[in-house]
Amino acid sequence: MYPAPISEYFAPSTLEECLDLLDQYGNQAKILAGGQSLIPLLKLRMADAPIIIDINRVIELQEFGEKFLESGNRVLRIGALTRHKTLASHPLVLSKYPIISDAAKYIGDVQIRNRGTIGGSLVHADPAADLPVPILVLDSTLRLVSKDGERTFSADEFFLGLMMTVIEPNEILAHIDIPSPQPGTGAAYYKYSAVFGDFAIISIGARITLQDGICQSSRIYLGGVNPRPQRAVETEEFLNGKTITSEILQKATDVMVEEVIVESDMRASDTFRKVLLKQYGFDVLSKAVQRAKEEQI
Amino acid sequence: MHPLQDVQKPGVEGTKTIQVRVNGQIYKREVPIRMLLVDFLREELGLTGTHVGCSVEGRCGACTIVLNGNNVKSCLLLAVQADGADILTVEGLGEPDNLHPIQEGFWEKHGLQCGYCTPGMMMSVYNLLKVNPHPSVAEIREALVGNICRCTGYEHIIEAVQYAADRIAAMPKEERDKLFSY
Ligand SMILES: Cc1cc2nc3c(=O)[nH]c(=O)nc-3n(C[C@H](O)[C@H](O)[C@H](O)COP(=O)(O)OP(=O)(O)OC[C@H]3O[C@@H](n4cnc5c(N)ncnc54)[C@H](O)[C@@H]3O)c2cc1C
Ligand code: FES
Ligand code: FES
Repeated sequence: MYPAPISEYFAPSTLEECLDLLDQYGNQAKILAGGQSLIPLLKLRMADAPIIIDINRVIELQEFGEKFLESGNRVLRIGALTRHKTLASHPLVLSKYPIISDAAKYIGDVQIRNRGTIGGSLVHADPAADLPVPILVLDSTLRLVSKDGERTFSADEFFLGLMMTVIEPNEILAHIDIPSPQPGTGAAYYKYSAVFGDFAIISIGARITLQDGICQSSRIYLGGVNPRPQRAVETEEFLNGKTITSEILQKATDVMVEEVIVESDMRASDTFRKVLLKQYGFDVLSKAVQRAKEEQI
Repeated sequence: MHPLQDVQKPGVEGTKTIQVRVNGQIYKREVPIRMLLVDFLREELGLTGTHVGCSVEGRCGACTIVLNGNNVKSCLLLAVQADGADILTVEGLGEPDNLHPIQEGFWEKHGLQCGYCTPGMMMSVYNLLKVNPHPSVAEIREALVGNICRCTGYEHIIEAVQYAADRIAAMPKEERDKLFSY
């Protein structure tokens, strides 16, 4: 099946050229990154793009690694064009940020991961996508750039709803910054899908900071259950200040199942989703606690 | 912005001239911008070994090719994106009287029935064996998640990959490198 006719295709090699083109063509233009979501949408005529701006050659969007900001804070910077494959297998991710590879390594299949990018996944904002959850759990910031300047959002502000974000048609998501965690922090992610490499029926991401066995702070998001990933605030509050034992994690899982509002859709009923959250919530929390001891998020 | 609310009027049919190297041969063609890479290979170049199984969502993997060293689904790329690229399709894998060990594996181990999935399957196997010469059964299965077979039940495909891996492992290094030049 073909996309509708496309009049112009640009493949600029600098960010500046991209921004000029976006400025010139406004919402006639669509950015093409990995194409793993956009091309199917174009074929289905659910999106139309008279002008395509292919960003795959833009070097500025391919940054990847730890760096110090002007503030002196260290972050892991992930350029928007970073492929799922890199996030699934990069030694830095595996050793220090395994929650990201937890999520990236079961996105689709090898071919999808070879092409798909984190920027495309976050902007597409599929409620069942894998990467939004760890990005939210790690309190990341997202940098949007346009001809008019730059805007920075926390991940929580960035996602608005079903396939909806704050991004404007003339903006590009340039990179994501993940702040360095407090000492004693661990994080983990798990998704349940119908078949290997499919979108999440439910997914759970958790980050826990421990000091002398006591939970100092926590962050929990659930994916696949709602139009956008949902934060489990009551569960966080339940955990904070408590000495972590397996019994407490079990109780925290019950709080989570209780507080979360889940929906039914063609892939799963709300009841089944709650059963899955009960089943896997404890595992994810335990994994985060285990990683806290190894200083891995 | 919601992508589904942003439906524009379609553009005028634009075209672009691209140059691509496919299986070692250079082709220069003017193509419609909306033409998918898989259709370029099949319709423009007549390389019909690359198949189309699902046409919209990019799930089946029958259209898998190796593009600049990575296996990708050619139904999820525009042909214009391949300008300047180096591509391997099943036609470039081996010759009928000089099969690539991967093809030999599928032949010897009965790794196909109708054969529809086979070209894409072999491109994913190519990418697997290039980086992992001794894959475990679990690794073979993971590498083939994106290639659906409706006939074999996969068991014989796994045996085919193991056969190919053993054959390749027994070869001298220069010969092995030649088999994986993409
Ligand atoms: C068969 C299949 C299975 C899949 N399974 C999963 C899965 O299990 N889990 C999962 O999470 N995902 C899955 N996906 C989706 C996949 O992860 C996509 O790669 C991802 O959603 C989109 O990334 P992309 O780089 O391909 O973006 P594209 O398709 O190129 O773009 C998506 C949207 O984002 C916009 N965009 C892209 N980059 C930028 C940028 N830097 N700035 C501004 N706008 C931008 C585009 O204009 C477009 O609207 C699957 C896809 C397929 C085809
Ligand atoms: S034709 Fe099915 S994945 Fe490309
Ligand atoms: S052999 Fe028929 S689909 Fe695989």
